[in-house]
Order: sequence, then structure tokens, then C-alpha cells
Amino acid sequence: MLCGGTRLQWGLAALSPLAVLGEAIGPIAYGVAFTVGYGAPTPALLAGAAAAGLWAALMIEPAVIVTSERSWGTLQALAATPTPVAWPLIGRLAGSTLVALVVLPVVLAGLLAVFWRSVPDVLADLAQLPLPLLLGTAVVVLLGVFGMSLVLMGALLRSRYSAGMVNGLYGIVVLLGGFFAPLATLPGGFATIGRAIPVSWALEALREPGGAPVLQLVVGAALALLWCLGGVLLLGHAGRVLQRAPQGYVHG
Amino acid sequence: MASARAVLLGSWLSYRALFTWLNPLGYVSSRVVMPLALTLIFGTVGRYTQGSPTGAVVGGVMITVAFASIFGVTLSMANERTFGTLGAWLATPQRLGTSIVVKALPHLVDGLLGASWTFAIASLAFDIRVPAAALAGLLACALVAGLSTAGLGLMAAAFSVRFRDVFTAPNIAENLLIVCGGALVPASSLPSALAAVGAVLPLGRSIAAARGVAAGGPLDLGLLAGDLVIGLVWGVLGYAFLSAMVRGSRRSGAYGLV
Repeated sequence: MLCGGTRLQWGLAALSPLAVLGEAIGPIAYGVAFTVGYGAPTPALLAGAAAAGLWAALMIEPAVIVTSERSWGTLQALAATPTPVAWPLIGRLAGSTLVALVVLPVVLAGLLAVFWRSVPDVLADLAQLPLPLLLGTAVVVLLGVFGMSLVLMGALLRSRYSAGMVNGLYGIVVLLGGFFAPLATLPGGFATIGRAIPVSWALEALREPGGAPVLQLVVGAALALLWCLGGVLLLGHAGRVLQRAPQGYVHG
Repeated sequence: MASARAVLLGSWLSYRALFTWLNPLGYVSSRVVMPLALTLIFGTVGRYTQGSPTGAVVGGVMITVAFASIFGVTLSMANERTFGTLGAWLATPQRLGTSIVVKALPHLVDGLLGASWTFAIASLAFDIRVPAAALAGLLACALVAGLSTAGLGLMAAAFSVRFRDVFTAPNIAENLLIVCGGALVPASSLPSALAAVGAVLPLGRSIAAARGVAAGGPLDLGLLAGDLVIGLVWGVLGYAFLSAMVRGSRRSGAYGLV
């Protein structure tokens, strides 16, 4: 059921160039705007833009998946099968993640195209970073964003959907996750809250490779797995509640 | 008096019926949380890279007004097609221009309200002190930003009425303003290509004027007038495009055509 959901979502995505560009334009815009503030792109800014792009895609997808299953009437049909409701939905979200990964190179290319004069410096900076650090950052960012999406989908499965209700999550996560500025620079107590977002640990590791990047990546990975586990448990619980409350299939 | 009542009633009905984010969660998420988070991000990056958050916060607040204008104007027109009322709307005796103003009015007010509380909360968060005498000037800059970006919103609405996805055009407009509007850094510090694009878009001059006021300087009426002119040009182009769409729809009798 997991792979079936993934295949379905990949097919639904219908990856046209226009769709890919439409997904990429927002993260490119934010990436360019904040990079202008710094003067030139850095590996951390590129990673922040990539993370913002992933989150922009995976923040909306839980809502799209849940509302589409409801409107098609397939949620109720799914709940009548022996398969837990959660797994096909997780499969669809995994498919959305694969689609979002296609958009990532476009985001990075768009950002570097605007600052094309800085490309040699960026490549030189990247070459100085250990490959395990880059890979570890990528894994923690991907897993962390996926985990947060799972939790969001679990919440939406039992909620009545209102247009625009998830829009604010983009700004909150980008702010608290320190996507474009170190957590220590956040006002008030936001930095403490930001520690709960796995991406913040990965980006801090990249910003300060001379610090304790391994520890930061391990903490980030552990947090990301916790978010994923939390999402799966929430989806499972929501699925069981749905099976006991028939009206939930219609509007949450 | 009757005309004023008709305008206000039409504005209120349009806002209630066609603004799909007008539900508690949607409104709080889209019109309170998102602009505030964006402004706080701007302020954080501004403080980290420039030593002071004030300019970036002012830019973020002006972006808040712009988004309210652009998305409000776009949704209030494009959703006529979404909800199948486009033909009825165009068949009314009310002139298209008057109807557009009626639809835009509540979103302008909404944008100003959003800017007010965003600025208040961001000022508290970053401990920004602005002279009380500057508040009226900031409000004037926000008003001009809202009016000028409403013109850009009208152009986006003209595309959205015609194309399948109503959010594509306003999203492009939003992203162009974020990149080229000089919200985070002054327009003069932008790469030349971005500055050139920003010069033909609304909002940039209002942001520059607002930054000047926030720094204790006088209100630059020349900048505000320039932004109004740019917005008017976009509005005229948008109106012309929308009128052409309407004429085409009337000829073919296909108001819901995409």
C-alpha cells in the first residue's frame, strides 16, 4: 500500500515543466531576497533555500492529499479495507517528496543564476566542506521536513479543512528553523522553540563546520525520526478514529 | 448617500463571498501569521546582516500590505469564475471600473489593519522605537503601497480570470515584489537586473519612503507619487486586459472559459 500510494502520487503530479517552475519560483524568490541581504550565496544559504523549497511543497501536499481523498470518497472506501488508513496516505506523501526533489535542482539553479558571478566562490566553499557533512545535512533536512509533513497530515486527517489554513506554517517553520539566519539571531525565545525543528540543527552544522557538526547532525536526525514516528502514530490514531466516526470521511 | 451605501454593501458582500481565506483559521494563518512570520524573518536577517532590523521590518510590513492587495483583488475577481458567477457579475449594470474599486476596497482596509498589527508585534519583538510623529507618515506609505499594488493585483486578476489556476499570477507578482521590491535591502543595493525590474514595479518607492520616515526623516511625497503613478499604469494595463477578456467572453458567451 505504501508503494501504491507513492506511484499514485507520482502519476498525479504530472511533472510538466510549468508545474516544476511554479513550485520552484517561491523558494527561488525567498532565497534570492535573503541572499541579497548577505551579499552573496553561501552553502548554508543554498541549503536554507533548498529546505524552504522542500517545505513549501510538503506543507501543501498533506492538505491536498487529505482533501482529495475526501472529495473522491476514497477515504471511506480505504477505511473499509483491512489496510490501515495511514499507509496509502504516507505512500502518497512519499510520492510528493519525490516530486519535490525534482524541484530542488531548479531552485538551486535559479538562485545561482541570479548570483552567477558568485558561482566559483560558492563551489570553492562547497569543496572545502566534508562530503559526509553535506550528505548528512541533506538527509536530516529531507527527513525532518518529511516528518513535519507527516504530523501535519495526521492533524489534517481529523480536522475540517479551511482554505488558507496551512499558509502560515510556511513562515513559522522558515523563521523558527533558522533557514536563512542562525537561530541565535531570532528575537525573544524563538530560538528555543526552533530547536525542535530538525532542519535547524542541520543548517547550524553547515554554518559552523568547525564546531560540533557530527553531534548537531545526530541530534537533528534523532529529532527528524521523532517527527516521523509522531506523524505515523498520529496518522494511525486518526485512521482508527475515522473508522469509528463515519462523518469524519466527509469533512473531518 | 445611496451610492455610498451601495459601494460599501457591495464591498462587504464581495469580501464575504469571494475571499476564500475569510474563515477564522484561514484568515489567521494567511493574513496574520504568515505576514508576521515573514516580517520577523526579514527583521532577523536584517539585524544579522545590517546590524539593525528596522529597515527590513518596515520592508516586511509593506510587503504585508502588498500581499493583501494583490491576493485580495485577484481572488475577489477570479473567484467569480471559480464559483460560476462571472457571467452574472459582468451582466450587472455596474461599470467594470466601479465594480473593481468596490471589490478592492475591503482588501485595502484589511491590508492596512494587517500592516498595523504586524508592525506593532515586530516592533515589540525587535525593540524598535519609532517616533510617534512618524506613525502617520508610515500609515500614508502603507496606504500608497496598498493602492499601487492593487494596480498590479488587477493585472494578476486579469490573468487569473482566464487561466486555470487562479493563484499562478498573484504568486508570480508576490515573488517579484519580494525579490525586486527592495524589502530587505534598499533598491540601490540590489543587483542591477533586479533593480531594473523593481523600477517598473510598484511598492519599492513606498518602502523607501517608509524607511525614511522610520529613520526620523520627512515624508518623501515624490516617492509616494511615483509609486502611485506606477500602480496606476499597472492598473490601466490590467483594466485593459480584463476588458479585452470580458469582450471576448461576451462574444463567445463562454464566461467560464479557461
